[in-house]
Amino acid sequence: MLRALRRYGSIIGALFLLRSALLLNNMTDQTFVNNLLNAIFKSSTSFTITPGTGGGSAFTITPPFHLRLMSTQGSNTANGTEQANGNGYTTGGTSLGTTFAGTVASGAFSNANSASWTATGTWSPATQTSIEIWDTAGTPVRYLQGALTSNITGVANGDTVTFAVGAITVSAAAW
Amino acid sequence: MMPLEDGMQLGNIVECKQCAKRATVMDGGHVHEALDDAGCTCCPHGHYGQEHVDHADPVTGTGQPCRPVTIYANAVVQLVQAPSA
Repeated sequence: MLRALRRYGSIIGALFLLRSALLLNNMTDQTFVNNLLNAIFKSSTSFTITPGTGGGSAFTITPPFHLRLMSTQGSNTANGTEQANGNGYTTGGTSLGTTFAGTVASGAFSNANSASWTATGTWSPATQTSIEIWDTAGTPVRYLQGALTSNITGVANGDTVTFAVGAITVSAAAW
Repeated sequence: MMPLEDGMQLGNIVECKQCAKRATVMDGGHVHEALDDAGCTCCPHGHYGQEHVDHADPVTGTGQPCRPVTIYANAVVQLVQAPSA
């Protein structure tokens, strides 16, 4: 009986080690992740990163970042459908302030400034499901996307849609 | 603010601009209906929910809602795999 228990325990232990070896997320030093988030999302001025030889083209990050409301959520590889222009919403979204990120900690941060729109007519499409965050380069670049905690439905003339300070959460803790 | 039932996800908060009464809008819910559920009676015409939103103000004739609200939205976002223009 004791021998059988030991053998069973050994099998469980081996499976646990195999699982640990196969899990590849959470593998980046979190201080390094924090540094990257601070560099990219707390900057108030444009800057260019130039990769080393063979690392591809240089790319420029151009704040301020803009918050866009989406009537249809995209994916990590495809843009969503932005809320139609007009009635208080302008294509391209609204600024998240000079500095987008609040305090970065544990691979995550939230917005340091509020962003809002006040409707001047009934919004159509009537439902907004998600947001995207883009920079303000000549040809803007999309950086972040995600679902609203709860859809927004029925915005009418005089209503205000607000993302308060801390209402947008960005997490890279699982890098 | 209305209490949430056990296990329900916290939705957007909606606040009447006139009386500052707040309610929680559940996913897919209508912002003005949520305020009705909270007992807000600021609409001077006695309109509620979608009927209220569709209502054109009889005084101004501009369609101005008689009880505008502030919607407090929240979201969780992640980095996209391929930054796209």
